[in-house]
Amino acid sequence: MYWNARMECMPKDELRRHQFRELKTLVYRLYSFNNFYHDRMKEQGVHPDDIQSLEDIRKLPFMHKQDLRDNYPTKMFTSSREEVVRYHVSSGTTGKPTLVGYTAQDIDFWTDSLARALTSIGIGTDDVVQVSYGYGLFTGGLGLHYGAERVGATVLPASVGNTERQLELMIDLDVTAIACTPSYMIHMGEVAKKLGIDFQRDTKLRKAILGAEPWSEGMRQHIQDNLGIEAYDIYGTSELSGPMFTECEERNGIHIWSDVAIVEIIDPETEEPVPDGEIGELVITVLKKEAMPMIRYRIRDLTYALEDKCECGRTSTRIGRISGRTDDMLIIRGINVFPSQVEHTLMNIPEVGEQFMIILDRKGALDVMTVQVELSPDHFSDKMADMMAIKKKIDSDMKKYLNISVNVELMDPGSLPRFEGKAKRVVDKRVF
Amino acid sequence: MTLVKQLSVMVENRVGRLAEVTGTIGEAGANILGFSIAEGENFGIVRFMLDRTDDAYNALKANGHTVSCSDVIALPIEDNPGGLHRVAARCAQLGVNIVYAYAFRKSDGAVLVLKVDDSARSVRMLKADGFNPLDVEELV
Repeated sequence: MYWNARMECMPKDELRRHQFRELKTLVYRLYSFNNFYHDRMKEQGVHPDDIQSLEDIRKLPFMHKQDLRDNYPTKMFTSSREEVVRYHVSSGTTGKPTLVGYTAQDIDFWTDSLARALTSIGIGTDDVVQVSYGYGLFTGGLGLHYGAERVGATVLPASVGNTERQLELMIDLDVTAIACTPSYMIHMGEVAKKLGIDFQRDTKLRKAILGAEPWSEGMRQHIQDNLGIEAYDIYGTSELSGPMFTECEERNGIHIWSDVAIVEIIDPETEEPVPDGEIGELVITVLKKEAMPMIRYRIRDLTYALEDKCECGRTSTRIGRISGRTDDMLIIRGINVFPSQVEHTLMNIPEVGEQFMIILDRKGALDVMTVQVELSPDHFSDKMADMMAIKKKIDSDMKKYLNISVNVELMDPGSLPRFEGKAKRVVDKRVF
Repeated sequence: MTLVKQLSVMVENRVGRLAEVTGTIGEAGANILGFSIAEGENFGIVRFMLDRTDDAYNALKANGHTVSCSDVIALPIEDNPGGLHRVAARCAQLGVNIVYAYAFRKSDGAVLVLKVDDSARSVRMLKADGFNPLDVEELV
């Protein structure tokens, strides 16, 4: 079953011609209408006329997350406010968030991309899909919600939290598929076990679409063996629109629809393409995006490309499992956190020093982030209530800026490690 | 006003940390008259009543400890049943709020160390009520 058989199964050479046409149109449009990208191309000494083949994409300048921050909130938008129908916001690296905007057509393409993906894993009108990604500023909840509705499935917008209730609804409403983070899936499995719920016996759940945080083949096996369901990897970032691409039923790489996006894999140091099939940094150009076009966006995820035709018959480029990042971004319970955000938050709290450590661990299946920070000696008090008030203040500031709950530990001044050269402030004890 | 100095030290909750503090105090030649530990989550506050407070303070600072010196009230209490109750009950009647307290025994009786919200006012009221807060010399 295909959602859009023509585009999904188009012969490779035809797809490449299609990509070239789209790219050319996009570059002309940006050069003419987008000050940011016009200037960027001028600096790089490249004109739309220089794009003579698909390979010429390499002449175009990269875009980085920093560009989105520098142009916050809407300076990079190529659509007017009247045309923009939605915003999503993800956390920034230094306190400033990253804003993405969508026109009605952007939402439509995003939804369509997911409709293809969901169809490719066999989800359709017969399914009840529990969307257990966060609804709100995060793209996961609404993205999957729209995608699942488009393929005609019944959507249960469960969002995150209240696991017992989620399990109850899953049973009562005959949920067949769920979309959530892999760690939440494991957590659900553990809660179910405690309640005496057997997924195979008591639920109709057969498929899980898991992503928004790093996971491994080992975790997939664990989930499949323990819960008796099929687990599929999903990929996306808010800059691309949100979660957009998944594995098909073959589970051999994530299909990046070639008419939707161009995939490049580069060496992060030299910025040159890596040899076919080798691991490098994923660079994505979204071909159809109105409000906030993305050309050669450096996502900072490490992966490899698969160009052979998939057993499912689809011809798109596929990418392998994300194996790491080229920056220091951490993904905690599906939320992106940069150590610089922690630093920025602490800088504005006079009661603590500038040294800190981040310790990541798992409590059951869920990530726990601990921030150790040194008390400023002048603020040491003999009263425990004063000390707890300082801790509480840090707790609430962290929650405010990072969007996740953090376990704060006040440390003795001078007790945390000092670094000469590159600081290693993150200790990740999680096993993926 | 009769107040005495007490040292408070921040102590991370890990094995051996208290010994580092007490070792430093001992080497400074200060005798611990009384002490208490308040436990937080990953750290505690250890409060010491000492005979040579300044020496201990300097030694702790020099060894990199986080230490503060604060004023507390040292009240002699009767070393018999109801001794603590009589003080606690009077504090309640006088409206003196106790932030924390600990007690120790010396050769001629018991001493209650009190941290209160408003030290000056509390000492005035306690004195008017017939209590005799101790000074450093009386304490040792």
